[in-house]
Parts: sequence; C-alpha cells; structure tokens
Amino acid sequence: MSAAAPEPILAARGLVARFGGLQAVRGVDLVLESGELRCIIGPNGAGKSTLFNMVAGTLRPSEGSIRYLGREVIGLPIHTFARLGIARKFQVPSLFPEMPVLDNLLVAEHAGVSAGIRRERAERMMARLGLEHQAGMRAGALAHGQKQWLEIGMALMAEPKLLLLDEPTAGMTVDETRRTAELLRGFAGRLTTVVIEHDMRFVRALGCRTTVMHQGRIIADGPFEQIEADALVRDVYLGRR
Amino acid sequence: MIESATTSGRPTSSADRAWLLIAAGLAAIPLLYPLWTDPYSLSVVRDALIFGLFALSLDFLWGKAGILSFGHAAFFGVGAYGTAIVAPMIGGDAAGLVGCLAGIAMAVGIAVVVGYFLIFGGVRGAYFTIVTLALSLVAQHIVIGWARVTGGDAGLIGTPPPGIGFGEWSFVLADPVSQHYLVLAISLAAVLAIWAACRGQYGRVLAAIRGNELRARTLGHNTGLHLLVVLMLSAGLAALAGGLYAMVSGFVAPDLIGLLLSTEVIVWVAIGGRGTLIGPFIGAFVVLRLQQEVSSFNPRLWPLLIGAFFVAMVFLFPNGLLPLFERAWERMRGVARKRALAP
Repeated sequence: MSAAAPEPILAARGLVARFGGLQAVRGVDLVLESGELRCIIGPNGAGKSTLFNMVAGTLRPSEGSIRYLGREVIGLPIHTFARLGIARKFQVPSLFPEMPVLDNLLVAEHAGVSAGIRRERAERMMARLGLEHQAGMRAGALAHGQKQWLEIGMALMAEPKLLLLDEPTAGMTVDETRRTAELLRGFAGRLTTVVIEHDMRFVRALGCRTTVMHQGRIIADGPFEQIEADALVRDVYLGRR
Repeated sequence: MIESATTSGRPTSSADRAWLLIAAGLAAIPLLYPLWTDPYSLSVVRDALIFGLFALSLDFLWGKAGILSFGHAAFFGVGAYGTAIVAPMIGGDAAGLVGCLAGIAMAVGIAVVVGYFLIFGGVRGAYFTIVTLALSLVAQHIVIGWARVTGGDAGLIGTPPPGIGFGEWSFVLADPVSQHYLVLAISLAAVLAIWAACRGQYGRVLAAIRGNELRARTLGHNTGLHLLVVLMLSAGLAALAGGLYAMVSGFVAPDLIGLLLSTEVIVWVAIGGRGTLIGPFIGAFVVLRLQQEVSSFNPRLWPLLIGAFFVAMVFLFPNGLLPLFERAWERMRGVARKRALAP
C-alpha cells in the first residue's frame, strides 16, 4: 500500500459463515474505502444479508477477520458495533411499531448527547425524510415506503461512519425509489454506504461500484455498467447457472 | 400527542398532565383517609399500600422493561425476613430500619447474581419467568426448612417498628396513622421517581427493549446492562416493601415469600394495568378487598379463584385488563365523535 492511499474504513477478509452443514458465505473479502458508496447484488440466498449480519456484529463469522478503522471487531458485543459507528437498516422494516415516529428516531441515538440536541437532530431528520407531519403518529401506521425511510433515518441518527442498508427500496413506489437514490448519492464522500438491492433500476441510479454475490461467493466486482454487461452475471440472474 | 411531540425542549404533554392529575387525585384518598377511620381499617389500607408498592416494583420490571418475574415474592420475602432477622440483632430505635436496609441489600445481591447469569446468558421471555418461579420456590423452602433462624412455619414475631434515635432523642412510628403516612410517602416517592425516570430517553430505551431487544442492541444500547439495573432496582423496591411490612405488622410468615404471593402480585399488576405505575396500587387494593370478601365466605376458595383468573389472563388477555378498557373507551369516544359530527 502506498503512503498516499488512505487506510480502508473496513477490511473484511476470508469471511465464512457456516450454519450446521450449510455454508451461507464461503470466503468473502470486502474492502471499503472511506466515503465510498457500494452496492451488493445477487440472487436470493447468495449470502448478502448474512455478510451484513457479520459486518454489523449480529452474527459471529465462522472464519475470517473484520478490521474496522484499523481494529479487529469480531467478538465485540453487538451494541459496541453501533457505538463504533456501524449502523444498519434491516431487510424487513424493524422499527418500533408501537412508538411514535419521533420516539423511534430519538431512541436510535445512543451517544448520550443532551436531550435538546437529540431532539433537534430528530426534527431535522424528520424534515429531511418528509415525515415532519407524522411526528406523533405510531410508526406502525406509516406507509411502507415511509417505514423504510424512517429506518434509514434511525440508522443516521447516531451519525454513523459506515451505513449498511439491506434492501432499502423494497416495496417503494418508483418515485420513492428515485428519491431514495438521491438521498444516498448525497452521502457520497462523507459516509461509507453499502446497499444490498434487487431493484436494478435503483442500482443503476446509484451508479456506484457493484459487487455480485452468488452461492456465498463474490463472482464479479466493478462499475455497474461493466457488471450489467457481464455474461456470467446475466446467467446467474436468469438462473442459467 | 402531536402537539407535545413537535414542541422543543422538555414538553409536558396532555398525557403527562392527565397522569399527574390521576396520581394526585388517587393519592388524596389515602392522604385524607385517617381523618374518618378507625385504627384497624387504617392498618388494612396501610398494608394494602405496602402490597401496592410491591406491585409497583414488579410493574417497573414487567411493565417498563417487559420482563416478567414469577419470583418477585422472593425479593419481597427476603426484605421482610431480612428485617425480622437482622433487626433484633441490632437493637435500639433504628433497629427496624437497619434490618430493612440489610434485607434490601440481600435482595439486590440475589438479583445481581441471578440476573447476571440469566440476562447475560440470554434467558428471556417464558424461560426467565420459569427460572424465577424456581427462585420463589427455593426461597419458600429455605424459610420453612431453616426454622432455627426463620421460625419455620410459625414465622417470627416482634419485628420492631420503623424509627430512628440518637442518644436521648428518639422518633419511633409505632401507631398505625404515622406508619400509614410513612408508607404513603415512600409509595408516592417511588411512583414519582420511576415516572420521572421513564419520561425521557431512559423510558424510550426501555420501551425499545420491551418492543424488540435485538433491535435496541443494534442501535447501540447495552440492553443486558439496562435490564440488570432494572431488575436490581425492582428487587430492591420489592424488598423495601417487604421490610416495611415486617416493621409495621411486627411479624413475618412463609406466605410472604411463597408462590401464591408471586402469583398474586402479577394479578395485581395485570388488573391495575401494566406500565401505568398507579394501576398496580389500584389492582392491589381491589383484589385484596375481594380476597377479604371471598375468604370470609370460604377461605379455600381464594387460591382457586386467583389460579383460575391467572389461566384466563394467559389465554384471553395476556396484556392485562387495561388494554380492554382502553379499547372500549376508544370505541365509545369514536361513537360520540360520530354522533357529534352527524348533522
């Protein structure tokens, strides 16, 4: 590594996840530069969410290492991952449906800032997500796309350094998807973001480096235009391999 | 709701104001009660208040943090027995209070040890409830079996009343009226303290843990530590109630530590409304009054009724009676609103 190249924010190497006899992830490397926006695509069961679970700390890898900000993080308690600045939006919206929208955002802040600052931040977040009129509404009563946004907002409340989004646009309308892509592109350079997606229009709109997973392995990696043109990737998506 | 949610700073929402109003209104009843009643009736109310305080301790754990302990009588009983055993060793006017502190320390110690292994061992939900049920049984067996210290089935008589003294000067609460006010003051302080603590971010974090603990953990909250602290405080509060009971009634017996009391306290909280903090007191009052009536009719009927109610609760209204009333209230309001809107 040359002296000019900055240290990657995340360097996961040789990750393996075994569940009994099943290998969901079989030796994956994922290196992210600070401020990078990255997409991970692949058919169902490719091991994308399992990879997220390992990077976010909810699943301990069977093998491999994860260095985050130059420090090995495997084995740290789950809540420590969030405290180190790794935030995650789950595949299935998992907000607190009984709590008001505002409280969902407030509770997502863990750094112990003053109540006033926390509230200010939550109000700014609601305005940014277009949820300012739903502040007192039960989060469970939101429309599906709004729930996805609220969860992205929850992930952002603690001002993370690494944002992991698992299918952020699932169930969104075309217009909502477009606005989500705009939101994420706006983070470029400031926040390292990894997005798992199925919606190719959305991935194209993000226009970022794309990693393709299939059967627990990375089979392709590069700019989206190149991935889109890749014959192997097409075959995998069409079920020919 | 919306109005409170969007104002900045520390808002006092209409819900907050309603709660405070209800709490103050209800507190006025036991506050004025001594003015028109006889000492015996007052001692009944005083004891019911103590059991309400005990129910509050469970409500903090169950209603606020979402963990149901079936062994809460163990903490109450340790507080009561701790007071009854330690106080005579101390002597003097403050013996009762010192004994009570010893009982609280013992209960918190047990909560830390048991809670550490259960909570950080990932034991939750029904499993937590079952293990704590065993705690209650173990405590009861120790109390009955270790007769030399605990008095066995007969219990211990002669726990000194609460008081303090320095040399010549002493202040002992020996009559039901002053004891009643002591219990009322402690109850009010406990309710307000828990309410105030749960209003802000702390209450939100507990609500998140109650709703989805793993999610709360991935948001950066050390949920295990939060739960352990709540369990400790809850056990300490239960032991304080037990110690108060020993001091004002002057005796302790194995029914203060057993499974029946563990069941009853759950029923009090369920009837009064989980997480309401005032509800447990109402639940304790109503059910204890009912128990008096039923027992004067036939003493064997009561455990049967409590058991039947418990089974019905698990199957029909696992969240307690309050949500049923709330739903009925919402429906009534909805109907009223429609009527008001109709031309």
